[in-house]
Amino acid sequence: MRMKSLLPLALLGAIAVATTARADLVIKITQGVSQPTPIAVVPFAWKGGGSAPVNVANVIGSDLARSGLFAALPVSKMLARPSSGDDVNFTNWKAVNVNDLVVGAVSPASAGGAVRMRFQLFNVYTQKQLLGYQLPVHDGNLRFAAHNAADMIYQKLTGRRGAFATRVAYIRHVKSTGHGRWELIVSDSDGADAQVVVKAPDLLMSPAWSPDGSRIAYVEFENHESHIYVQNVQTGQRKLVLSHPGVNGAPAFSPDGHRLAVALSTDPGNTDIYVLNLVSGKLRQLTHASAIDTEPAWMPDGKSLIFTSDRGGSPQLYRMPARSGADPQRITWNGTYNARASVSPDGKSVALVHRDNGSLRIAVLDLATGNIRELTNGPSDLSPSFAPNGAMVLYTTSAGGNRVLATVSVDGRVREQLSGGAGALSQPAWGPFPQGLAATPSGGGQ
Amino acid sequence: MNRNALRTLDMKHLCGVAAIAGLLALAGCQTAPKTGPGAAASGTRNAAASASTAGAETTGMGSGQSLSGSGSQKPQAGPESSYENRTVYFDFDKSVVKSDYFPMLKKQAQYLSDHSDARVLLEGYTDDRGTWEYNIGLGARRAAAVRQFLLLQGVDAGQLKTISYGEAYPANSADNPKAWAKNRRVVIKYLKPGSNS
Repeated sequence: MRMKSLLPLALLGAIAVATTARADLVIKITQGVSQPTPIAVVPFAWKGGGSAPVNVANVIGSDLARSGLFAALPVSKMLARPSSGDDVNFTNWKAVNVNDLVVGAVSPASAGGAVRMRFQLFNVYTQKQLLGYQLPVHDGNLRFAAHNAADMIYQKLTGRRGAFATRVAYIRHVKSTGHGRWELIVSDSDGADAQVVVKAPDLLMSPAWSPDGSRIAYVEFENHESHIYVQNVQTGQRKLVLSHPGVNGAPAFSPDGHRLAVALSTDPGNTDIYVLNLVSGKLRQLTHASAIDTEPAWMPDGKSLIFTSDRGGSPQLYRMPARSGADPQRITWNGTYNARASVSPDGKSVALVHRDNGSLRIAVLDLATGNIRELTNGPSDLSPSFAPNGAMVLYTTSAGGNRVLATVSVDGRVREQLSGGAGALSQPAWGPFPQGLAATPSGGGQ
Repeated sequence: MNRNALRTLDMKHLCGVAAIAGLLALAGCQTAPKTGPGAAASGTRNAAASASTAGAETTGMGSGQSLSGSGSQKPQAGPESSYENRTVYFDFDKSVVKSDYFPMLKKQAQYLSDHSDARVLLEGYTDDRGTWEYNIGLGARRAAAVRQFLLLQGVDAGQLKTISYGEAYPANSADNPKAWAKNRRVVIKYLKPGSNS
């Protein structure tokens, strides 16, 4: 304990100098400069009886709007509601100033066949079809098919892969007697279709996806101990992988899926980063500081890890080689609190929790320049997680006395709360891109 | 170091484990400021109470009891002691045990030394102004600080178990400095004899 308090003091001198030199590098987003592109997603025709099970156009429009790059035209402002390119009169869409137009239809399952969804994307000014697809709807999951369509539209218009047809994992705590009820939930990227994957009578924490999306690692508290499990998302089968005395926390899969970086306290009160080889079961200690070293996050190449440490006196981010853990380098120099890294898929930036005037905000650190750009206003925003396409960050915030999930576009311009059930939601993890995607251009495509 | 044994459980098995864990958690984690902890059955209650009274006499500190003002005969140490007599509070992002808590901790240490079969769980907690896993680390450090204090008083390490819940289970879930101060704590919980590992 004595050594612990002396070491940071020695480091503080050097840090103070560097902080002054770079103190002007926190950028606050007030209002974006670019305008979202107006797009109309016309309600899809439903070729079955009754009403359609899912408002596909609404799902697509909401997805596109949440990205911050598009503004979906309200249905009430539409002058016509075509469901096929043949019926489109472009004058109607120029009149309401939209750049792009999406029309489509859904056919219910016929005998032995799947539900089918057809959609077309047009540029209103060139009057050309940009996309035309017919999608089989797997397992009748029309909502997920709509997310797939949103991804294709997003990619066509932005040149960047969409990440709407992905899943997110998070923790829900519902208060009741005793410790209440803890759940690990997996839902669509917009919070819909939430499914409870783990239910527990005590604390659940830190869900983390395997790179292929087949497994989730998480922490479960049982019998006054914390354990790390790896669970197969499809089968529900799980393995206990770590149960040391003390802290077992912050699991993070390596990009190859074979290793798990974790935070363990083998000496009571001293949390260090370890890497567990999931194949051999071998455990390797990476950090040795008398400090809290936790929240490891892999760089996409798997060669280095970014983690939170208070070895310098306050929680800051450090980077070290994943193989040796040797000589960690501090990478955050603005403010007294920078923690919980989520590395962008391109490895160029890191989303983190940044404290500004006592307010915890989601910010993005540019690894090349060291600049920190705030994306949210706080006062209590936590657990950032990059979308697999790097365009949005999922996090938790307070709204109306509840803890809820929200997304923010990486330009900080659009923040949106996700739908979610009752209880306190926390620690979201945005899953990877789906492994395979079946989509075939329909005959009508140009 | 070699406890990371791989274990596969099917879902049915898991429910059983979860249910058992739940029962134990309820039994072992009860703070119960109003009623006595479930650990002490009525028969053992008097013995525990008198033993800790004796312990209190040796350290000779009466102010804590008079301040509590309840007029009850709650002992100042041991499983029957009040929540406040088993709780250490911390400053923001700190894990130093302040000297205000030395007398209280010494009494608990005395009780543990006098009752070698008594075992306690030191639960570390934080306020919610920080990231989840960092707070787990911080709570662990706080629990370790209290553990270290008790060890220095001569308590056997085998009587002490620590856990950090971080920002989960706040004592006061309001969002203000007063509540945060009540949440930055280590709670000493007496474990039921024979329960838990």
